[in-house]
Amino acid sequence: MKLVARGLLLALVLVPTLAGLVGVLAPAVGYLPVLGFTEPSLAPLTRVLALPGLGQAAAMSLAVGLVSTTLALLLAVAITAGLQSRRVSRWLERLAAPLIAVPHLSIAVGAAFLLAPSGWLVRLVADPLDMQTPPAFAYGAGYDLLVLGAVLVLKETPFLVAVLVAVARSIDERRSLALARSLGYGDIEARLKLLAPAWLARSKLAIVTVLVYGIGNLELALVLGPTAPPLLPVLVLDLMTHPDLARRLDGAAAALLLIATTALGYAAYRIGAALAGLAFGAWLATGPTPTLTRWLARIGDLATTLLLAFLALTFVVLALWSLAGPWRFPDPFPAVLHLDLWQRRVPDLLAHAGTTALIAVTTALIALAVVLLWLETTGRTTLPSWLWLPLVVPQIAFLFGLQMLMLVIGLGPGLGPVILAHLLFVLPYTALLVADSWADQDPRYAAMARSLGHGPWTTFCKIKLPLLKAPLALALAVGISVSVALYLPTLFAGGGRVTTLATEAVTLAQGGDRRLAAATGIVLALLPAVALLAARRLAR
Amino acid sequence: MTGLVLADVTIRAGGQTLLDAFDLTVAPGEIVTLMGPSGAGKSSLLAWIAGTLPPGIEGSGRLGLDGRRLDQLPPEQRRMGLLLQEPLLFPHMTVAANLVFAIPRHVKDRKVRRAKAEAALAEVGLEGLGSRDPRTLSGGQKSRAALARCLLAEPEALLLDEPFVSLDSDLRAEIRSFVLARASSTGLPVLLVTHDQGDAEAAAGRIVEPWARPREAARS
Repeated sequence: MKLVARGLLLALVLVPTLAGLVGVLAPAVGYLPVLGFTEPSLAPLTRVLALPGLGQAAAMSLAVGLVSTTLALLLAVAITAGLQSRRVSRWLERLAAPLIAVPHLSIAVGAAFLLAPSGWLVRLVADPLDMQTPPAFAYGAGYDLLVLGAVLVLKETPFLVAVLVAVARSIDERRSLALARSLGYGDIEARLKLLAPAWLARSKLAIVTVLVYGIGNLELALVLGPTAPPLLPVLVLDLMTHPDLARRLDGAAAALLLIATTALGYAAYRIGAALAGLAFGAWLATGPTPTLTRWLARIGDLATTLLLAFLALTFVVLALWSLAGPWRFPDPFPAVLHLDLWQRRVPDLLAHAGTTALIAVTTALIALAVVLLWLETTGRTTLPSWLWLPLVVPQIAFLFGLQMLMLVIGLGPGLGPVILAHLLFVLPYTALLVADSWADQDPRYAAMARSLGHGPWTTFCKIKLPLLKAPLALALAVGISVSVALYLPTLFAGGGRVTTLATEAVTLAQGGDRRLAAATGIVLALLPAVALLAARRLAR
Repeated sequence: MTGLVLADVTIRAGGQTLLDAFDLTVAPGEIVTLMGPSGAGKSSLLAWIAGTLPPGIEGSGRLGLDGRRLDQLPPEQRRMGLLLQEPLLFPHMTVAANLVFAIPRHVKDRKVRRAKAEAALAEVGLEGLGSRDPRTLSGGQKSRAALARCLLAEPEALLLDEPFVSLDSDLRAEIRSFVLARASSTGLPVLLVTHDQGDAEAAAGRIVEPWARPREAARS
């Protein structure tokens, strides 16, 4: 059993990720026998490097990932440091779980409707400013990147807050805080100066995950990113799905460049962190700086409030568009609101929601079963670090390789491969959540049950599982949320034949029916919310 | 040989030897008190006997009960009744469900199982509390329920690991005499570990102090 559990985890996570990387590396150097390329060459790489706009694409991806990660991290540290003392932060703490569960894509669609050149914000001020056409400044790569970055910050800050808060809870802070206060430091400054370094040191993996997503994610780049040239992941996708199959070699080479760009981003992050450490050291040496801390806290509060307002507005505009009759620029509101769209499109939306839920629930349940089997049979609670590999490599890089390998071994696209692909991203999160509570459980209950004459299986089912009901339900809900939000794994492993709310939202947001896109964004956000609510109810 | 027999028992945690080549026989109906300071390895010894040593601690030696060799068996086949520092009533079950959980599988009929649990509750003075959530019981009631649960599993020996430490002093004497009286009335070998002189006196049996000698020897 022990071997089965270890093998399963390897087979479901490490093997496909490594295989996917090999599957992208080989064609990148000209080796793709299935299409008749057997001579290794550097031609694909040189062709890609000569593509117009490649440098700009890479630079934009790098910049948006680095800046959004840095801002989200600074904000998350400020919020975590102030959690016990300020109201806005307490609000955010309560909202953290639902905020994490909202798919990036729902917010992206809402943000597009809100902030686009002809978006709602412009419409609201168009009349007073006597604007007849959308403002010119909003047409440009710079503005697109700004919107994309804002969405990333909005989505990643709550995730990082949750990670930091979890880490902070595991550190006994009372003595350090009492000591610092007796030396004249306020609560927030004491946390920032004494505890924040430890939080960050223990959250490296989460930070890298955020950074890699920021640089390499495809779905937000498609919905919000610039188009001429597009961001690097979009460029990779264009080459990979090029009608000329030979261009797939170039796609692989571009994916390799995306990995290199991500590595560069990581190096830049490390250098930045080292520089920040120097500045931090200087701040440590100045003694108490209550005024500065107050200002930092105020900026943090303001940013948090802005982000929450931004979030609320994205959902208001989604709701408005899904109910809108004719809505011409520059009218601030639609002329009529009606339920036409919802009534006409309910069957479609339900069908896509059904497919999405089926994939998500199956994936989350399989992930939970595999993780529990691993924990129960190996007796270990420290997870192997390779489990995070799928989260620290840009998705498109190894998923493309996996698709190539599916081609080679003759595995057709479909629901099964989609679930396997989703497991790559759901398993790490499930494992992380379950392993912690598994390690925290009191082993004496199980020992007692065994002494009362029950075997390991009964003890597992009747004692261990029920005692962990709350964290297990949460892990399921998080697994479902992760799966619901996945776009690229569905696209690649489903071969375009499996349609979920996420794939539908990207297609529609790129120039389909705005009303339907809005409705899809709403239903997409509802699924994780329902999963979380159900988990909370179950935990009671 | 009858009774609970420990032969050549050695327990190691990390690089440290907690117990070295220890021998002990507890006859049926006898209460033996094992005394030692906190952290000496008393609980580890009981966990070794019960077969529930946590990872990181290793035990070796022979364990027999009425001529049956136990040390290679999984915990569920050893039939050791455990009473630990805390009552450890399963929090997701009612008091009655905790007791029913302990009744061996040869009692098949649901009603009979339920009736046995009710009777066991009455026997420890907890009539009518079966449907309660264990968290709503007082400290003394929890200890009584834990004792009832332990005995329902039809154990062949009892292992008491300082089962009175979590009780305050008034209650402590009362529960102690109740538990010890019930334990000795079963006629089973009983092994009590404690660091409390009062517990040892109340048990009124043989006192063994395996941790006293090597320490003195080391000093001299």
